[in-house]
Amino acid sequence: MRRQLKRLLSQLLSVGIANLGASGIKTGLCYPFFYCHSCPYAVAGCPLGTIEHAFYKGKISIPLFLYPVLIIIAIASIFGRAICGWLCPIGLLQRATSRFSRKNKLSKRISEKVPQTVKNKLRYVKYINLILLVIITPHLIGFMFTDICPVGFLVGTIPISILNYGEFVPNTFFPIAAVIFALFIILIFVSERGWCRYFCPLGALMAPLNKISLIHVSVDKDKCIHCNKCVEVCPMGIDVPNMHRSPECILCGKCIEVCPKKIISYKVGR
Amino acid sequence: MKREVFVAFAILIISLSTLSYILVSTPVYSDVKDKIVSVLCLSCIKMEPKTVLKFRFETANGEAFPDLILENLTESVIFLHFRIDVCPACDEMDPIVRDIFGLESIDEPYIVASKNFSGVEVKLIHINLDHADSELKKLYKFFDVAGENGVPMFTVVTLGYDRGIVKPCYATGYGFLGKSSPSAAGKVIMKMINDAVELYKRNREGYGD
Repeated sequence: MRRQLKRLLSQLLSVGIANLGASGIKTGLCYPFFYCHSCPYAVAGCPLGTIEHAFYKGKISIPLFLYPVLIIIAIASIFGRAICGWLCPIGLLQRATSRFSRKNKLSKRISEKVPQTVKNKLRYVKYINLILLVIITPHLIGFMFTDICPVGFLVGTIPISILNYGEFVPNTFFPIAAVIFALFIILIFVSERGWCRYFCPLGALMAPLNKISLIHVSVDKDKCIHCNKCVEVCPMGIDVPNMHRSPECILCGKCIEVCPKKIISYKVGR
Repeated sequence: MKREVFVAFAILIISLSTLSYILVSTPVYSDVKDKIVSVLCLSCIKMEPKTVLKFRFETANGEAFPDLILENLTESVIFLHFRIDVCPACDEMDPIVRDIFGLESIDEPYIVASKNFSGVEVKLIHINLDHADSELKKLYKFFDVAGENGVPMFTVVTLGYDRGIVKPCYATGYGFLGKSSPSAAGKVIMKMINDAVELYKRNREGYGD
């Protein structure tokens, strides 16, 4: 079976498992990817929401903080950010929009105008999101990320509004969250995997573990002919021939498939 | 062995052993299940249940009114206020309830207080569900008309007239009660209480001791 088909099946299976709450199952686990516990069919807790609970208004609950973080660290120390590429439902959504974001002219124009250095710096926004919106703001003020989270809007607000039509009314954060959700949709249609690249706080949590993960993508640089086919297909915009355990790599394997010299491969361990 | 592999294994072992320790020695699993997964996070969905504040005679779970309510109803209208630890809307509504009942603080997980409204005692029962025993937790289910586990939830229980019989009845609201601010929600709570007091005055004579 082709790798990308396997990946699609893995992502679809992950969406199915994430929504096992439809069969009445509710667990005390945390998702290792970005999914919201306000989804009517959620089976586990959002890791970011759990971290926010841990730091809520001056309180610090170490177990509540460590619980989702350790689940993610344990998985990412083996697979790195493969969770983003193979399991995350929001990754699947962005996979669906990637064809459009690759082909549309506006996307290309924006991509050409923004210098690479700026794009590289923008990648740090996700780390700021993680620290500022998920840890510091809940600790000092109260929920912030939860109130504006576009994923919560997508898998919580919209389905609940449909399934319970007329039974809910917007709260004060609704208009802000709706604008952010609209920007999120524009982003993923304009920039391939734009959410993962620049804004996802969970990606920020996992990214450093790519540096040591047991499974990673490796390039034999000495044999590279610099055809750049790998760069063209990379959904994360990585300079693949020069990459060594890039924190951005989601191990999707697209570069492995297109490399004419077959010098890119998954490596286990060394 | 290459350094990265050693570090990865070390991190894996440390994280798994710490995770196991946390799961065994703390109630984190049940905390996540009960306080996060099973409770509808109104902040996550950026909405709150729309409730028409009408008085109902049937409890939300179909069971008979609990004894705690029936006993108190002979003397007063009951105002139930439910919250959980981590709840931004609860934090905003707490001062409103505190001021309505003239309390100095509403920080305790369980508070019972009374205030006279137009000649009728109204008993406030403030319950933080994260610190409540099973009986008080069950109390929530009697009045959660939306069935969504939303908080903050406000319920006023009074006496109503149902086809010739005086019975307990209640009205429930959530969040900012459909208003855009806590202060506007406070006016709705006052209306709930005033309506409940009027019903109580009208029907108290027909209700047994």
